[in-house]
Amino acid sequence: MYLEILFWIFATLLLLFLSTLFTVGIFLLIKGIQRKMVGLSCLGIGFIVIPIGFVGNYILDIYPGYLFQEIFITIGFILAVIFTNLTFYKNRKSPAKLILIVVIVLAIIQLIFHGMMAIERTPLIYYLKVSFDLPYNFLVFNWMAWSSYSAYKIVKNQDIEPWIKVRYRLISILSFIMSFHGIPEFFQPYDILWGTPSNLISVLVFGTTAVLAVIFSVGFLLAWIMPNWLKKYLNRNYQPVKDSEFTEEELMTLIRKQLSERRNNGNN
Amino acid sequence: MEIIKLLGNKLAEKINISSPAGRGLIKLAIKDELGPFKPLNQLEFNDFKNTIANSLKIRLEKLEISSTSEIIDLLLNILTQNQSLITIGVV
Repeated sequence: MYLEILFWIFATLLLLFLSTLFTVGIFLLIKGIQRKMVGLSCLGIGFIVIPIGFVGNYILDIYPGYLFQEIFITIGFILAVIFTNLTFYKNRKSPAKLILIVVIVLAIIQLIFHGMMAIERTPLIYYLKVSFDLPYNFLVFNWMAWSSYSAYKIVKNQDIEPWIKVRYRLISILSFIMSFHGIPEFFQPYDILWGTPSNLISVLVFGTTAVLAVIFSVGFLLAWIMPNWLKKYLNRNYQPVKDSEFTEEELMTLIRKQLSERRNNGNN
Repeated sequence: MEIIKLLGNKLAEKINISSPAGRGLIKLAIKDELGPFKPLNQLEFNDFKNTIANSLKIRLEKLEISSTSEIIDLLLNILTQNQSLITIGVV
């Protein structure tokens, strides 16, 4: 009885995670299309397809096991890495391409193991799967976390609106937290499906993952769809720049005048 | 836009003009490069890169700024290092 209540609490959290992620995904996709930002659109699609995979697996019961869900998660994770590469690493020397290739390889390995487990769940296949799942999750989310943190270190002392700096920090902290969501899987009994309500360990593993996922998705919702009152609060000690409107001629005259004054001062 | 502010302020510092004038010069160069109808919040990394390497360089040369190439390289470097602002700082 208590186990079942616990299960439904965690299932509610999972639903909250899925709906929040879907909302953020739709928002990012719309913004990405409006602003012609390929990277942002990728992240938006990635966040939309993950809930579709879960819903397909749980509600429609399309396939036994988690292969169907995993296909959608794979697409989502690869698109998240593409977002990171396109947002932070254009024209930069970095391991961005290598990380994308490694993530794709690990994703294929995951799909193979899920396919094998749909046929037969053995301890060897299960623990091999979770052993490869750990570096897979680590790479996808810590790459995003590290990239955002590195960018934050560059902008933190610059004249940038504080709410933007908070967004960088949220992305890096939340992605870092999410990178650990593969660890609970090691404690999952190999012969029991993830989230089975009749098994205590399975429910606890399910719950831990659900809590991590909710922290990630709600945090991302806050980071990307930040309410105006929060932006204003974070900017409370910041004086935003408001440029006067000049015509081209006025501006060039002003620049020439300033240059001339500086040159004369320099000569004197 | 934060990336324009960042580039404009650095440009102003390097050529010794006021910050608003520096930001204005960046915006004029964007207009030269991409035309007057492209919204600033739709600019991508390559739009900024081409603007700095082409139109801004021409503007600086017309203003007889010394060490134009050095300034252009510096701004391209700042753009590359802060490219995430184009996405993170706009949406």
